[in-house]
Amino acid sequence: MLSCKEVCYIVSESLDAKLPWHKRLKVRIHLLMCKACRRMVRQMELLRAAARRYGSNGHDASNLEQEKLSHEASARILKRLHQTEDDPTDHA
Amino acid sequence: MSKDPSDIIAVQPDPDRWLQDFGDILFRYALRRLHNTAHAEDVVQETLLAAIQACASYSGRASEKTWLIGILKHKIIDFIRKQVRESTVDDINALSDATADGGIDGLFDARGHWIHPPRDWGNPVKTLQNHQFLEAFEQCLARLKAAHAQVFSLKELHGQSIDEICNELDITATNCSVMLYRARMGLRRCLETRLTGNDQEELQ
Repeated sequence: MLSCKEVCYIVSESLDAKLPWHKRLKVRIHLLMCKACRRMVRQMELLRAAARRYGSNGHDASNLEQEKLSHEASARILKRLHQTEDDPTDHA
Repeated sequence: MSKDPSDIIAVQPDPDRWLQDFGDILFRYALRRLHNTAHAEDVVQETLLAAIQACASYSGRASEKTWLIGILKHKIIDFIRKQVRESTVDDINALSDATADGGIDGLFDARGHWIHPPRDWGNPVKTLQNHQFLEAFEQCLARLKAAHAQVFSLKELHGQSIDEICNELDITATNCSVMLYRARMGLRRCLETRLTGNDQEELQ
């Protein structure tokens, strides 16, 4: 009998690859008897759907499209870039 | 302005203009893969530093933007490789040690039973349409261990196969599975706390 922890790992694996039938069967038997793990399966599926949504058009849902380099970061990067440019060894 | 390809001369490094014209584009591109502001800023800097060095080899055929994004892609993969290398040993140890999950995540007891069984998240279709859910998803992704978030992102947000990820990051399929497992369990738990409150979930 698989533990809930083992079932979680196998369910995660099953999202990425087709598993052998005996592994699937063991998980099914566990799920028949375990409400907590049935919920976990639904949540894993929801996670996948959310990831797809977020990956495709989710940038509208988030603020990612408006994200900009902060002034601080720009200034820091620029300073670093000029250090390299002004490095006398570069002009040797 | 007509331009004969044979006239193209080596581009002079112009990091100020690159940063001004393309800084935000590069940053957003990096953020979509790394999900962490500081990490995204770091790879933008690495990209521009590499661009100064690589200027002589820029043929001018690709647009500057395409050229810079090409460099950025390599820098992102280098960055993820480094994170993954640092994380892999911990992950394998944690998984094989029956008590480690209890210590790290507080998910399971020593016999592998749920300490806090998953709670009801309500109607999945409604949950998914909920604007706040996707916002929470984004925040939870940012809170994962960097390597886990990055591998999860390659697989689930950017649709790469396990084989592609293993090749690109030079890891085994088992490493990859373990990181995806930990990312999913971390996201599940983080989202649950946000969706249903944290009364019994916070174990300090």
